[in-house]
Amino acid sequence: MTLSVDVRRLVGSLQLDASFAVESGETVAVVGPNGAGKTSLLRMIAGLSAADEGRITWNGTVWDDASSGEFVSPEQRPVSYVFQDHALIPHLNVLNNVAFGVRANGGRRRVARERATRALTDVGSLELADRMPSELSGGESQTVAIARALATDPKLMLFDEPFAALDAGARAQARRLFASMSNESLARILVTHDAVDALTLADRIIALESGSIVQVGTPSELLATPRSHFVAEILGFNPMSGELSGDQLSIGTMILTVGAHEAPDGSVIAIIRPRSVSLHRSRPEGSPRNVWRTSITTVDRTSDRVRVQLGAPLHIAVEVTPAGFEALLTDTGEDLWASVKASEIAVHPA
Amino acid sequence: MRLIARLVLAVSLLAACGPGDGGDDGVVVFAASSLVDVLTDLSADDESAFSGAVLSFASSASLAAQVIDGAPVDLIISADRAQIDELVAAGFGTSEPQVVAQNVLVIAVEEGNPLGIRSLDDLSRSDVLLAVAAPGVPLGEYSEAMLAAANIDVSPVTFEADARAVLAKVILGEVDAGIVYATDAESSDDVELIEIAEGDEVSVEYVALTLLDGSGRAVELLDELLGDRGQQALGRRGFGLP
Amino acid sequence: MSRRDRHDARTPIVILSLGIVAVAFFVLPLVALAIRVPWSSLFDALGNDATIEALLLSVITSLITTVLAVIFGVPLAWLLARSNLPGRQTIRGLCTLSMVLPPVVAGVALLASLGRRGVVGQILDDWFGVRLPFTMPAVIVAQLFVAMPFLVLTVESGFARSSMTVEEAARTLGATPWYVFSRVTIPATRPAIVAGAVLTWARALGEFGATITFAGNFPGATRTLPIATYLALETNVDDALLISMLMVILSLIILVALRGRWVGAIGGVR
Repeated sequence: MTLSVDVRRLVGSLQLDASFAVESGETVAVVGPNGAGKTSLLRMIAGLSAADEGRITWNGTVWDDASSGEFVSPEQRPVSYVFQDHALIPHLNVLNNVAFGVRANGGRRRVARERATRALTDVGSLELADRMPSELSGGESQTVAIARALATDPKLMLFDEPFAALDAGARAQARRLFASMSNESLARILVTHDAVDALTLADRIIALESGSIVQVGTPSELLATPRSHFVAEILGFNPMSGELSGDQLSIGTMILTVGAHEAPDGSVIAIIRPRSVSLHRSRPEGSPRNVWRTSITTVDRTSDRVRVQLGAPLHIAVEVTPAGFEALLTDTGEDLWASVKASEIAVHPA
Repeated sequence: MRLIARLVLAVSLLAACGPGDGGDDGVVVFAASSLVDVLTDLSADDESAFSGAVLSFASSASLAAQVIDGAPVDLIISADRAQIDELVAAGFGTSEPQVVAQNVLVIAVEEGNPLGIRSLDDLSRSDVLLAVAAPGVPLGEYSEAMLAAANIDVSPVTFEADARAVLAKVILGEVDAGIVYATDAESSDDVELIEIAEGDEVSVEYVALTLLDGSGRAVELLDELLGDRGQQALGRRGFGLP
Repeated sequence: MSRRDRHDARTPIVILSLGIVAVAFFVLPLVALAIRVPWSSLFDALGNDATIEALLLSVITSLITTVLAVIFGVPLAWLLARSNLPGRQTIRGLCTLSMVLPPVVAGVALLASLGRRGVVGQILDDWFGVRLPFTMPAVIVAQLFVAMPFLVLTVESGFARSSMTVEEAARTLGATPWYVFSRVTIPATRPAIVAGAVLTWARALGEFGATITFAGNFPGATRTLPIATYLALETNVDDALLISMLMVILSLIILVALRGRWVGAIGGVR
């Protein structure tokens, strides 16, 4: 089944113009900076707002057609929406929240309870069943929101910044849950401003900037040929493809030691933040780190930071303070040493 | 801090400007509501003793209650003899009560008298909506007495709190007729006055009493009411003279 | 006061002083009334048929008014808070104007519209033979006119404060707009509805000016307790005091019975 979107809508002063399709079994991430129109796009797909021009169809059925005036209201679309703030119904306990969709569609109380129990078990939160939403932590209410969205057996699920409000631990857990949920009859669209989410969880990425789609492709395609400033900014995080074996990561000719992680051996995406890398005039002694000799290819100075692009063997961007850079007393072409701690290298399954 | 000081000063000034005691500038007169027009006329007259007087009109019972509570009143004029007698018995009066005016009861109807009401009998017709004053209020008592004396049964739709309220219902057209004082009916251009043959059965008297706690000018006021100026003013407004 | 009480949450002196003045302001008249009341005659007053009649009339009409206010006021509040109706500000102003009007003025307005010669009243009389003034329904109309705005404003505020995202989430889960309204919005605003209903009931119970002007005074049909009190003041002040005390006791019972459940909800604080 295919979701086909071809819409234009004026949102405030932003003209949103998007055209793409999503198939069952696919997970598509829509990435972009805040204000790009990602949430507006999701709302149109859910039926909470209508397109000014264009159409949205699902499996041939028209959901929204601006020219003919056809519009299917949200309760009639087999879409589930997980909101950024989770939007749990405050006066119902967790089980009744999860059962809400089933009941609203005419399900009897017992059936609804059973399906709610199953959904909660699937997300691993059955023990929360009797709690009230106000008693839940951010991570807990998020899993409940997902369970609630799952309970209605949707064919299309929309996620709006699902991991944004979570702390690091909850985030990792939520990502794992999300990854495990994928299945062939479910199409998922994930909106996020965090590139790592998109790169690690999506089959395809749609980059949205100022209302227009600037690039569509698989994570590796985007990494290989970024076509916009924003996509390039993603690369500012130095995402690299590599092979992982135990705690040894090989990227090209480099072998790096990584710290504790949860990625299985095999192809991974490694992320090294520019500020995690230190530069030295001579080989640094001391604590176990990844150390290598390299050179500078370009230097980009602004008043509060210096961005240095390194050459072989690891073509990554590094950020140092102006003072730090002066202390290096060096310039392009000259040799220097770079180091990064094993714990500062993040790896994710590709 | 300066703001607070200013606020305190402002509040105390306001508090000091209370209603003036009768003892300082003018006199204070309590009177039954029916007398509002005639007393206002007198108070507007510079040569009258009532000039600049503080006039307070309310129900006879609440006026009496205020006097008992110690209000500094020079003269009280009430339509309820019993109230006056109570005040005398309690020692508030400084002289004998005097009747200063009289009133009669009339039927007030809408201009044009569409239902053709001629007498008290007509008031018991089923197509006539009647308003009277509530029992316990002087007008209500007088109305009841008069109807009883004339042996007439009526079913009023409403028992109003005072004469003016009865009149208002007639003027608004909510009722077809009301039993009010002649002076009230005459004060309004919107109603017609039907005299009551049996009106003489009931005599409405306004009794004035000079009071203890007043400014001392009470006797002046009473004299004026009983004298030419007062009697003429009363007559102009439709009151009967004692 | 323990050391903890003294130091943990200090109330500024200015606030404490002003607060005490405010408390005295409210308590003093009630205490004075209680002192002046001839308590020995209270049971006689209670046994008085006319008084019981007025009491029952007041309670029954105010309850009916409250129910009607909820039935019509909640939808109006919803329209004001959530819909895209043009001119909402104006509508809100008009609907709550009667709250600000002197009650007698409200009564006159009711006469002008629903009285015997009123714009609509005349039609009701000529065509259906229905006359509103001086009947019990008229009492309810008068109470409703002045008291319903309390419910509308309180509930509107409740709707405005409740989350629209939750309602949208419910829609995406498959709930029709009515299902969302009845199962999500109304339960979420229940405190505001209760608070509004209590305010409405209290206002309706004490309503006088509009009632006596529009509904008049007829024992059994339109002579409510406030009207009875006013008339008693005209005739026998002691009676007035007794009936007043009766109203105070009645009001106290209502407020105590609902203590805590509505005071917080008006301000949105739980």
